[in-house]
Amino acid sequence: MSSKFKLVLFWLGVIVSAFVIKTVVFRGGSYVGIPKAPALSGAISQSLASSGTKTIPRLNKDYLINSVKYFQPQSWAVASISLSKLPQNNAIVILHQVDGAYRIVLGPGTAFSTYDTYSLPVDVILYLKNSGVLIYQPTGGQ
Amino acid sequence: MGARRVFIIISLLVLAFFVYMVGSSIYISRVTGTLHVDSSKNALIVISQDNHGAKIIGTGSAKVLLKPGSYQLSATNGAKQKFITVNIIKNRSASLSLIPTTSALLPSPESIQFSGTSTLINDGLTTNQISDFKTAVFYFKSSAQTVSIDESSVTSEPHTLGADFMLEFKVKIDSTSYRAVISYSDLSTINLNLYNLNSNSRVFSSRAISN
Repeated sequence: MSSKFKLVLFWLGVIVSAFVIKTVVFRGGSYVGIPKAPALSGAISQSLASSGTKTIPRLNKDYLINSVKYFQPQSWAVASISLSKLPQNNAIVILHQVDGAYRIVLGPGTAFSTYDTYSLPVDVILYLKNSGVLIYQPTGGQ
Repeated sequence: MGARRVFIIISLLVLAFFVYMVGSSIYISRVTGTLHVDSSKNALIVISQDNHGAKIIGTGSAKVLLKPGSYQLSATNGAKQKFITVNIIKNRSASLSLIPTTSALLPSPESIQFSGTSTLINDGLTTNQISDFKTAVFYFKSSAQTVSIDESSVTSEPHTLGADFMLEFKVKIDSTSYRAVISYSDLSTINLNLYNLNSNSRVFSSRAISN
């Protein structure tokens, strides 16, 4: 075996051992860094995730946040979002801050039944009413 | 000579790569904490942080190294989702199970499974009043999962002029049974009273409810 071939094998071994050492040091895991993004975008992307896909909706690529209104003073948020390809079609999402993090509790939707909103604070209900997205819809008997 | 120089340069590059990989791995492992998540098969596991985006970290299970801080973790499988907030501490490992269970995050009368309400329609309630009844039960116990009316127990009092119409029945809210009395004087409003079956003491009064 020539000495040059041995050196090539040696350096290949060095490359492989670098990956092995990384795996051992990371204990089989991988490092995840989350890029900075505007407020609520992470929560909205996360809530819109659906299983069976390998990607999640991304702000400014898949959807836009058109406006955000906070309530009490920041426990609740109502955001108007739209698809990037159809910015004129707005939908509403209602987010609640739980344990310091926002999550979507209602929406996205263009209209909500009063039935869906009993757990919302009065000022959020009033805002939805004034925005014209709250409708009365009895569910009837079964 | 030229080939030897190329070989030396490649060797140096490989060495630099090795030093970078090992050095950065050791540095990252020292400034991060480890999170191990187990979920149901095919559940999409996503992590996000305040003022940051969101990232998929695995399907079914995930093991990741994260900078210290508070993270929002979710597992999604079909229409079911489960959220949890996790706090990552430097050089510490956290392990948790996150099984998607609920599709409705905001409790509402619609998130309660009612059965037997058609009996109440047969006994004179309108669909609006059924909605009122569901709202009243929701006010009594917003976390209720199932509400079952004992259809054989429904009785209506003979109506006397000027008095309210009355319906009485047994209702099981989750695992607890109550005596329920619905009174009404028009076709859109009801008043629901719930009584303890053993002591007969009133445990809830909805007052007038009209959707």
